[in-house]
Amino acid sequence: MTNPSVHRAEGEAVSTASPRDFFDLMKPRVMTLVVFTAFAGLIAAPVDADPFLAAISILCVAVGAGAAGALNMAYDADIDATMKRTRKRPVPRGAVSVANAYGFGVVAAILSVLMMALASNYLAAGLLAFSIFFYAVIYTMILKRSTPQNIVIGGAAGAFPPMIGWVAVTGEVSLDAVILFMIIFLWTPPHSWALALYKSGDYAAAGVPMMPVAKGAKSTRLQILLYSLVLVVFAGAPVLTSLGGVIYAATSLGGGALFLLLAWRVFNSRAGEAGSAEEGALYAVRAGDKAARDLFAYSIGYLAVLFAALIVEHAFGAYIGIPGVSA
Amino acid sequence: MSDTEDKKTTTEDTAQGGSFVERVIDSRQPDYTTSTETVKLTPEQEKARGRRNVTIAWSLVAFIVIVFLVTVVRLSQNIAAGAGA
Repeated sequence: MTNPSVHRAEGEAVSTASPRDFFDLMKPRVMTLVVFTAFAGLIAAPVDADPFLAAISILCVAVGAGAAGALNMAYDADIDATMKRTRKRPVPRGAVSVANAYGFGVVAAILSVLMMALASNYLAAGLLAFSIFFYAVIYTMILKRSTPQNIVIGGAAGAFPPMIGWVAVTGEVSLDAVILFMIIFLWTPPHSWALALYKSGDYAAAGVPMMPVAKGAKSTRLQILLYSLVLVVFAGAPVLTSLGGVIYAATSLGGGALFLLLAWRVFNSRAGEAGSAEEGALYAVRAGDKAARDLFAYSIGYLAVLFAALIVEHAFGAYIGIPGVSA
Repeated sequence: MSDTEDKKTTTEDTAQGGSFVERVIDSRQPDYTTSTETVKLTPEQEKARGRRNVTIAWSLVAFIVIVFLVTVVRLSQNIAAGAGA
């Protein structure tokens, strides 16, 4: 006997999303840098943490960052569908529905914050919750579509991980934690604008007022140079507080000099100028945009090496203070 | 409704196999002889759902294990701190 009231459809509205699609919602490449910087903050903190609880805290930061990424992809599905760089993401591709992406993001956010509270302390959990909120709501829903300063202010969300790592084991926000936060905060504008310079057509088509779209390429190149100067100078701050030793100082000096050189090249280039289509491979660039492409790629390595230096000094006993400078 | 009509209805109900109330209750019982699926899945969709279910199951197991281990470690730390005080 069959129930005539039951409608049988041939596979309508049933997801074929794989676990991999949900993993991709969490922006795994961004998550890698987030985990790395959080780990550096945790290792650099002057406390001997329980290895298991420290690992769980890092896992919580990773899941929390992934949750923020999923919420971002759910909200920005319309923008992502129009941009070449993002149109293959799970939501615009149709692999995951917007509702499922929101659901996944909210559940992951709640679980990561609760677990952080259990494994470390309430302050770290609160900072993690705030960083997810800041990225998903303040940056994604408010700033991104309304102001060219979107990534300057929104960059704070990405700057929290080392601070959260630090607070997870110490239970307090110290000057060193704020310095680590500020390094990533100042790093975000030149990093993001370098990408925006050679992808300005994409952003313009999507209606996102990134700096090159709103203020022009020339103004953006100048601001990249200025932010790079401030960043490279500020990146020396850990040496003054004894957070960074000789290895960090050398890395900061050498890496910073190359950063400035590449930023200077961008300033003197015609990167971001109109007149050429952005066709081709995912990160294909026009000849004039090569300088911006180089800075974008190098900036990721620069940040990674800075925090790697801190890890080497504090995790492997390689810390050597600088006489007369370190406290 | 008069008493005569009432009796007539009851007689008819019994002749059809149960009272009116019994038939209403019976009609609302789930039909266990057929599948409860309301949507026919394609093989690809069934496979994807299976993979998601397995992933969710393992995630839940991992979550429970982590909560248990974290609780044990935190309790041990607190007991040790209490003993040292």
